[in-house]
Amino acid sequence: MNFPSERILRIAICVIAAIGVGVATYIFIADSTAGSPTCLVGGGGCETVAKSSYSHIAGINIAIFGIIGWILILATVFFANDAARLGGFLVALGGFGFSIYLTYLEIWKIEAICQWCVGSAVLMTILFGLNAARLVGYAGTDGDRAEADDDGSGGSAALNEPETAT
Amino acid sequence: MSSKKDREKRREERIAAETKVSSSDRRTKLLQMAAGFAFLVVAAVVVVIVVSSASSGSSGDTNLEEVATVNRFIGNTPQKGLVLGDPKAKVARYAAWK
Repeated sequence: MNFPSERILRIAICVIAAIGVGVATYIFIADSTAGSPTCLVGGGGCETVAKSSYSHIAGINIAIFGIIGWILILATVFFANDAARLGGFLVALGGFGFSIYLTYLEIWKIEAICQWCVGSAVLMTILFGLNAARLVGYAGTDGDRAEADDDGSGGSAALNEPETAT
Repeated sequence: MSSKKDREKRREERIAAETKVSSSDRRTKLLQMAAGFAFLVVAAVVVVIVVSSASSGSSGDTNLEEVATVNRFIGNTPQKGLVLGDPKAKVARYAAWK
């Protein structure tokens, strides 16, 4: 199975994580100052969700957890080793699971949809896929080796190629 | 001379093979670990949602408006299942409190 080069995956993860940081930061700032984020296409879902008891965990705004998660994922982009690949995957996995739970709460408990939360969940889902592709495609390869695959040939499970000893 | 070259070549091949095996092992372990964590997260999400649904179902709405009225009418009446009072009683009593 062919994967995009790790460099492309890292750039995509970086861009999406940066957008995610922006979304989570906006939700936090809007919640702290204006009371709730503004729903761009109308409806009062954002306000309902922001004012529900589910918007805080142990008194901490849930957007704070989001910001921390996005920043952690962003940090893994700057390293091309197995620890970063696994770390990015695990944080994205946790974020993805948490997004599913929050979506469940919105639909079944709060009975209101916050567009910013849905946007954040979609971004996290994409990020989970990208991190999974990065891990499956490049786990076990050295950083230098993975970078060497960035010559446009398209990365694959690099282990299938013969190693050359120097 | 040629035997030295052969030895070096075999050594390089052995190192390359060992590197490949080591890297393959590392990859397998990482993927197994990732799969394990993915399973745990899926299980955790399912459990949280199920528990959350169950707890809301059992507690119900605590802001019922007619609780006091109902208690006043039938609060002291013994209950068996869905039947209030003595199930063998010959006289049935109906109350309308609306």
